[in-house]
Amino acid sequence: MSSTPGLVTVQTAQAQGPSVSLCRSPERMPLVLKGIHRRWGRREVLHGASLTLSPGTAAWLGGPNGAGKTTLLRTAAGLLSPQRGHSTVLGLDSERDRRAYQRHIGFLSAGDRGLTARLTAHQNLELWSALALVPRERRRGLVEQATVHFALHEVAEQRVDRLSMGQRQRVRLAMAFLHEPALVLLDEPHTSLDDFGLGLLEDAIAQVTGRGGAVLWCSPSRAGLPIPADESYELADGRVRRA
Amino acid sequence: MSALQAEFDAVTAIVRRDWLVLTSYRLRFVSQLISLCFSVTLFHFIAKLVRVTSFNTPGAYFAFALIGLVTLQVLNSTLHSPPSILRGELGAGTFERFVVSPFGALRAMVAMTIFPLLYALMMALAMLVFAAIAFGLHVHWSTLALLAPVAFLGALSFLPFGLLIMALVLVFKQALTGVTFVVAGISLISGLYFPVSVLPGWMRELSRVQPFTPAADLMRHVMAGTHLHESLSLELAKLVGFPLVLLPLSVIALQLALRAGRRRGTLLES
Repeated sequence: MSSTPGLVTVQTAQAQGPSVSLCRSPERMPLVLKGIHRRWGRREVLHGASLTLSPGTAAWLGGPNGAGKTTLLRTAAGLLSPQRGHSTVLGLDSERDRRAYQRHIGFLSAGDRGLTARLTAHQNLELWSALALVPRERRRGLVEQATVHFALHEVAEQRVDRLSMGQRQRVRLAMAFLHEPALVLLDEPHTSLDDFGLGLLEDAIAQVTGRGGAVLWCSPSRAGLPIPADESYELADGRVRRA
Repeated sequence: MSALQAEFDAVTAIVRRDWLVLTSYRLRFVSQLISLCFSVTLFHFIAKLVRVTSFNTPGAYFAFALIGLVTLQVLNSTLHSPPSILRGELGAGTFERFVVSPFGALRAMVAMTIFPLLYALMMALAMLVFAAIAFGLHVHWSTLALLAPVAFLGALSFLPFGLLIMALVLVFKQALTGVTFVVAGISLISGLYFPVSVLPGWMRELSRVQPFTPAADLMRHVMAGTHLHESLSLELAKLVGFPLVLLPLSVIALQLALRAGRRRGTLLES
């Protein structure tokens, strides 16, 4: 994927400051956010935020609390509709091509929510593989692969409400990566992870970028975090700038 | 074909999830069963006090009320359970999984209505078996096989109301409070516990323009051989007509609620 033909090196039109990314044909870009506006009440959190991720890129998005990192990730994940601007993944529009768009997204929200507490780790993964519309013949293999990648074998048959926070986070991460999405969006993925867990996350990110996908992860700061990032951005005044 | 199969698998995965969650509470099923048996027993003894022209024998009223209870089970399974599950999903943050999935929140919410309905039908069957064994409920075996399609049509006609309540839950979050009143009102005007003929005129009119009365009436007809209040074709037309008109409208309402929630950013608020 990284040797995509038709490479055009132009700056992203909406980017503030230095070049945000190399821009190739949008159909091949794992993520294009263009002119995203989002207002919460009277406060405009995103003011024309733009960001393009090329195939094979792992990127970090920083910024202080309330800068709009989660809002931007949720918009890219299709959880929020942009009030202005648009978001595309591999050329698919988040509003117009909603189902196809969602097929290519893996998303980890901040915190520890989003798991069915009374199900086991394995059952949560199985449920997600079905919701992700993974073909039946591939489902078992991908669930097993995610279980191995995030070292969940020992806890696979335990209910998630009986797991430690770090183990739960690994289950949540496994769900974000399970269906081999082209774009993985991770909101504070390091939460509750020990060094071992961070290592597993690093490997998973490398696999996505290795197959030509992209990963965007966010946290207020990068300091001390071993999570890979080829590119670093920050949100300031509602816009994305290269950090 | 495999795309259709994946969609089907997503539906069954949601039904399976709801089943697994239910069975993870070991005593819930047993306690609900016991509670229903108590209700049946209560109505059996209340029926012994009934000496009115509407019912020739106490047993006739018992059968009448029991089928009202069965209808109430189905009613609750479509009007109350799915919105409650949705409320739980919003609180637990699992709803966002549906929204970011290619299967989608709309389909997921429709799929969420299936397990409560199957569960209600199973409970209803258990009530009938208990009533037949413990109190000798007289069942019309010759027409009993028609119960399944009638119950299905009844559930289908109740479903739009459940979906509309889900849309309200998405928009207002606290809409569940009103459902209890709605169910109580429906059980009053659709004659679940007593014939609609004893109601005042204006309430009888209300009972004609909703699908709950014909659903209960047809179930009584096929299970206990009671007379229908209106012609068979009219009652069937109501059961088919209501979902035909209301189901697309309720799906559109749900779609609009989802779209508004994503636009306003309130979709994931609990």
